[in-house]
Amino acid sequence: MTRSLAAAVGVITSLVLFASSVAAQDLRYERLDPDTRARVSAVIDSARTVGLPTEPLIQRALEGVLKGAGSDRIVAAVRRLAVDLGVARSALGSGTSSAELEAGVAALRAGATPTVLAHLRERRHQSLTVALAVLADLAARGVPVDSAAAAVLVLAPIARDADLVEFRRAVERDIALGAPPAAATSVRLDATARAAAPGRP
Amino acid sequence: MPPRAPRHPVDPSPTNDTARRALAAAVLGVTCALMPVRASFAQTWATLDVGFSEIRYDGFLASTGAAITPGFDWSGRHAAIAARGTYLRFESGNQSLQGSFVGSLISGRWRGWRAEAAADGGASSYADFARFWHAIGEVRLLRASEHRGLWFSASAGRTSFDQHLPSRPLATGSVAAWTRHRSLVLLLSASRAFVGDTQYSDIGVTARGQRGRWELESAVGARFLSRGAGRGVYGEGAVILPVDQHFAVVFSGGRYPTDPIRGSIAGRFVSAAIRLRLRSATPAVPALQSAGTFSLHRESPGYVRLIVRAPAARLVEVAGDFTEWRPMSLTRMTNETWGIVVPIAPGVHQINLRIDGGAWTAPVGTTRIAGDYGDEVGSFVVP
Repeated sequence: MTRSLAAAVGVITSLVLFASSVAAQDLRYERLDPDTRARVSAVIDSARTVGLPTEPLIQRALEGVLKGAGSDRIVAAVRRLAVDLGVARSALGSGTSSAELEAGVAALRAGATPTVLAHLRERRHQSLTVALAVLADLAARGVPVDSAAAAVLVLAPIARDADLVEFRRAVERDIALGAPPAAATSVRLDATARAAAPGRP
Repeated sequence: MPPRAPRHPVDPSPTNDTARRALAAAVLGVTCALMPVRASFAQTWATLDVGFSEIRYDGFLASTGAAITPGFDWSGRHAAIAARGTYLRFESGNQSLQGSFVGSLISGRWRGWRAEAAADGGASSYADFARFWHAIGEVRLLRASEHRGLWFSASAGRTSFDQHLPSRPLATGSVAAWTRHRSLVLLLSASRAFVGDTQYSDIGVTARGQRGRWELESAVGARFLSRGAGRGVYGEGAVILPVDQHFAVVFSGGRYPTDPIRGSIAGRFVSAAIRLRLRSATPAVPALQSAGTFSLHRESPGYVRLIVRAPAARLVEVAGDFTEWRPMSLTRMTNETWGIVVPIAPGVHQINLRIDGGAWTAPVGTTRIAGDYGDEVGSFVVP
């Protein structure tokens, strides 16, 4: 009896949460003007149909509202993101999480190729979110994209997320101190790879 | 004794040419020695210094000059190029032109060592009666790790001090070692040079580092066992204060020795210059502790405290995917910092910052990425 009651409470809670979520989503759509809302909804529905995450698309539209962008620009931004999410998923695989896909889009926009994303997926058997974000960060800080990609690929199989974050911080610090970005990356890569290698004392 | 082509007086790099090239080689050496992955590696820098100097060459009255100094550097995995020029106009109306070019090829690594072959050429003129040139080939053996390195080098070539006289042969040998501790690079070098009948030895220490926003560079050296090139102790220093990522103010001064190879005579100088610097890939380097600096700290599971340093602000707001892109006001924490605790899931997030109702910007301390709405968005990771 107690178990049945708990299950019922669980189902009801789930339903309430789901309904709340939908309601919240609806409320968010209200921030778009009717024309934009209709066009953005069409893009989001298409993305949902092919199994892409929709939350990043909604966020992109809301960002446009905050910044006073016009309808065409908001729709174009959402559409572009949907395309990039699709490219990232093709490279990373169908089971990729939304966070990984968003990080993948950042890496692609930083100049990484889908092949690099696919290699990362092969080489790293844990979440790729941080690895992809680090790759995008390095490129944004002036490291040539293929150097950044090579560095992250070297670290991917052995480094923990914390190691990758520390690697990125160290490179950023070196660059801020005047080191050429590629040089900073190579120096820190060597240190991080040694520190992250299994069997260290 | 006629005045010789003056040395570039606003160049903040170490005066001792061996030390200056050695310091550059240290950076290149560590870069190449530690490049463990096959990746393209190419960086390009260009600088333009415009400034004034007060110069007193040994044996001459002090003179003020205005200088324009363009510079160009390119470095790849196995090659590097550096070029410098100086136009100097003295208060007397006399003018000086200098130009130099160094190109290097660097081998792959073998048992921790690399070899470098370099060609160094340059020419200068002062007014209409003094002309100089030099052409040098150099080989160098380098060994570098993350924090230290050393190399040996030998060079040979010719130099000319007068178009009416035959050029003179030259040969040099040098050894140098460097170490790096955080932002400080310390270099020790020793060299022996033979230029026609002239010969001399130099030893020197060069230090380069950063304190806050200030970049500091200094060199101290001594010349001894000299015949025809002077002797004594010399030294100089430079302070570079970046205004932003493209502009810097450079102050330098000191005393440098005669350079029989490149045709400059010993002198003292103080100078001030504005430096414009460009990079092929300009990093979005955060100016630490500058207004708008952003940081985040994990407060509790699922919650993060966002902190923004904005001392003079009256209103600080953030918006991002974690606020549904609605402006969220931060609370003043101290005289300089503002903060707020927000629930943020692990992952990559985007943020914009607005101070006192101004434009939305990417906070310093985040990775700046081009947004879809013609602006910049800051990106950060919550592990």
